[in-house]
Amino acid sequence: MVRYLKAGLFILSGTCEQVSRLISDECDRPLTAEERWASRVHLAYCPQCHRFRVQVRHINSHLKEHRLAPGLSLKARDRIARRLEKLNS
Amino acid sequence: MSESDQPQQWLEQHGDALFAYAWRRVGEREVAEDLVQDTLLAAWKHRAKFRGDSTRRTWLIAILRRKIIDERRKRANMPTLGVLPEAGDWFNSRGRWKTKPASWGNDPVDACEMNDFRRVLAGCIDRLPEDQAAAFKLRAVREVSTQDCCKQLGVTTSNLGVRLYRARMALRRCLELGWFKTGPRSKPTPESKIGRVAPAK
Repeated sequence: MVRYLKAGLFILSGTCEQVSRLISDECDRPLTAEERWASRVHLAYCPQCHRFRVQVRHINSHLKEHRLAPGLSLKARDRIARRLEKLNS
Repeated sequence: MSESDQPQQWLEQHGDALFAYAWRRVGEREVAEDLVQDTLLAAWKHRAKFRGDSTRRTWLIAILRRKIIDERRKRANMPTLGVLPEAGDWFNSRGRWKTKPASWGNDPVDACEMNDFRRVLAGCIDRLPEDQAAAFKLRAVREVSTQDCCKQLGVTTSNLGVRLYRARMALRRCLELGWFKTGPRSKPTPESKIGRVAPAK
């Protein structure tokens, strides 16, 4: 019973500091049901934390694109080829 | 025509391998691509010096390694962003944001600015404290699993979480100062005087 009360309190009264930590944690591990609800409830009324979440995802999206390409991009390949050709001529 | 007569063939045969080598060490695509370009240009310019004692790829990688060391030195000499607040200092005693996150707009980074943005992002990652940078590069850039990150860094899961959290908070603020203008809703802080961060290269 006490456990449920504690969980309910956490869900309803999560602070920006606690929820921003959850936003970071959700990039690295699945949140517990209690954490997920705390995050959802808080994000519904806190535009700052919502913005923080968007920004963290934005940073992640740029980092992921780095990882996806296993070799030189076509753009870089063309640029290097042109520079080599210029040097050779 | 032999391989040495065609710089394009160097690019075809060794470009991806050089890129993979550089990327694993610097962690950023644009920087790695520039390093590959510098390596191939330098190697072609001094191709007469290649004596054939090793394979051409080994020779190219030796040049690339020197370029990577130069790049790291260059970054080490860059002006520092200043001390960003500790994670706890982002919030007041009631756990609310002290400096509210500024808006980055609907389309924060224009496609043509993408490369510059990533350089600033790379610069920000480099400015993180060493323990946070190591954790962030492993987990967020190389996407190593949380468990493997803990093993490699010798920390607990909760400690890793703290490092990553601090890194994300600092990166977000660094980008706000270095790339996005601080929004009107943010209160002025001493760090806002630091100004725009120079791109990583």
